[in-house]
Amino acid sequence: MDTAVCIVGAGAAGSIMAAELTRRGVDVVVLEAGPRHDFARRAEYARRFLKGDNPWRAPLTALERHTSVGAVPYTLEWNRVRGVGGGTLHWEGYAFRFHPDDFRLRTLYAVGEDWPLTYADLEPYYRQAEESLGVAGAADDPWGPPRSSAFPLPAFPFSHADRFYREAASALGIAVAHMPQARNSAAYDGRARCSACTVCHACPTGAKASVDLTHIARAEASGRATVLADVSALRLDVDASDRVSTVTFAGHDGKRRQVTPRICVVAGGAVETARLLLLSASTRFPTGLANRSGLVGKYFMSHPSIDVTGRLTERVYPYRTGFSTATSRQFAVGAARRTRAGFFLEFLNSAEAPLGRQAAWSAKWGAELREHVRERFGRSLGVRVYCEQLPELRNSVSLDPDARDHFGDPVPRLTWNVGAYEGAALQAARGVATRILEGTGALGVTTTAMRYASHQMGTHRMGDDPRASVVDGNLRAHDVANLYLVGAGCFVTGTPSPPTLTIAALAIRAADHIATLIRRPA
Amino acid sequence: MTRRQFVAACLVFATGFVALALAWPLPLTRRIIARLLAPRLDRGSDRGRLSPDEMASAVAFAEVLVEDRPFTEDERGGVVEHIAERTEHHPGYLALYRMTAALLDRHAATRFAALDHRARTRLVLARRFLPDVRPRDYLVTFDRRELAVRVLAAPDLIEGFYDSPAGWATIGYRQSPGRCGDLLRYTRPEG
Repeated sequence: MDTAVCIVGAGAAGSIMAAELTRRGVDVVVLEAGPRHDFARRAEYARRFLKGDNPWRAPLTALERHTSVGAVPYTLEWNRVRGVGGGTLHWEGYAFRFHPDDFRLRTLYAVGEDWPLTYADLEPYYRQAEESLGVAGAADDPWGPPRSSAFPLPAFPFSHADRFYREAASALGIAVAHMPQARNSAAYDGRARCSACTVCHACPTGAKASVDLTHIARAEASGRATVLADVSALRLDVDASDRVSTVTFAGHDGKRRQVTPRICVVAGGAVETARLLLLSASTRFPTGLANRSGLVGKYFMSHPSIDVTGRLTERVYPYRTGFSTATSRQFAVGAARRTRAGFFLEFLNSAEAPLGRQAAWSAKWGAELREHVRERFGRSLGVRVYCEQLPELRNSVSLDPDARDHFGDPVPRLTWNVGAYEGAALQAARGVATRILEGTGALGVTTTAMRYASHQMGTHRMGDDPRASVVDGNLRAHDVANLYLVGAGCFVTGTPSPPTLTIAALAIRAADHIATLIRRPA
Repeated sequence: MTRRQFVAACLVFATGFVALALAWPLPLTRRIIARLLAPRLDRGSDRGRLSPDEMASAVAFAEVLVEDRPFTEDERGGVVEHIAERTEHHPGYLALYRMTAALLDRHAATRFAALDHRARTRLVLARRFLPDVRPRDYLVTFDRRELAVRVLAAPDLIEGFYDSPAGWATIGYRQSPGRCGDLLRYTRPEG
């Protein structure tokens, strides 16, 4: 099968790349390891999600295997989705632009690294990404980045619970802003307005943007995209001129097939992209494709996270939306990042366990149980903290020689540790969140153990120096002229903000670059 | 240490642990006991649907656990949906609910669901098929199936009811999670 561009992975990066390239008249073949999830089954998925089932789990569980070493066990279960749409099938929809400072951490604060591009370079692509996903927001964040245009959709109004947070935060001099989100506050782009079904992880109406609906549909409608689901890219083969010549892939039956592209784009997520490069070692690239720097799989990052919660005497009425409506980025920027990570605050609209679970945990029954849930439920507030993580060489994705997947290949082995820089931020964040909650009148304020967000970043970082990075600012591999690695794996630093909008903006920018190359005569 | 001394030491340790657990049920002790002795779902067992009779017994049990009366059609529907979801998609629940229905029917000496509500309640109280499991129950309940009903099935049925629209209605919610409707409801107090 010959094609102009072969894209491995139909998540946010791959799907947006497919839509952008086909829009520019470029033919693409997209290989996706997971299934196509029929939109007509979303209501069923939502029901299953509410019952604690993961409806997005790939049917072939042998493809999901991975191992974890390091101080903090890191699992991909529930933290990624294989399927057409990828992580956007289950994401919360929070669509943040990074702050200009995020791109210059080394210059400004002498930690981490600078990115090879600036916020100004990316701003026009952020705008396009917001338009294509349909981002709702308000320019009311004093700590947000500058914008050249308004949000495509009006912000979701603050919730009833937000009133408590805003009053308490205001008294402490903390600015609370509307949460920007890729979710329809009004009908947009052929998709319905959100109707608060509260199951955003399996949005049954399509009001939350997921790229299977927003971008793959567009790419396929162009007639220039062939999307193959349930096929795994197994190897990238290179020719004597160090160019990807073929992409070998297989379906569940294991039968090998090949695509011959002019350009190959790998968009498998930070874990699988690194793994595919490492699996594609050859005589020309003995330590892995595009790995002459030795940095493929290195600098794996996520977002360490804690929840701080407390109880009010008043009711706050949780579980009437599936998303949060208020945020603060006040602590995500500023000179404190010299000594501790930036962190951002999400003010939770549902900060306690669902009603059914609380009833089950109570060990009560009958009338006593009814009284118990009426008295106990719906009085909790909570602040979720997401903390940026510095790139560290010890955190990595490598191949586990002792565990094999469905095709007999080594599975990814994740090594994840959290350092003192992040620890100091979590400590500071705990103090800030506790003060806010105490300001609301909440009692019994407690903090959860550290967790991590479903964000995997790093592993094929971008940079200008081929010895210190894997891809350049256009996301082209330094070592392989027709290979592009898109997605959060190219992030140089983690930043405190959710990554998806930046993944989208970078993919659009890379698509611009690739389309120009394709059009250029050979 | 001789083998006899080793066995004696183990017995002393076990006796001491049990005595401590019974006499001093701190949360930590409770958690340790629960973790060690709690019945577990058989995750390797099949998934599928209960028979209508098994479903009727499970729903009748739920009625005793959450209401002082038979369910309305809406209440019943929510619980049936929950049980079906569990048995069809979650490994271990089909076996759990089959066992629960069989145990209830056996103690009822007929179909549990065929008893009137008062008789069901008497049976459930007499056999203590209730979720209020205490630490000593893990030690003195010799029938593991009865313990599984108390530790796994009863709480799950309670969760199923309170996850349903009828359950949310008990706290005044007009719309339950998973049902789509008025977007801006979240901006104001309920009711």
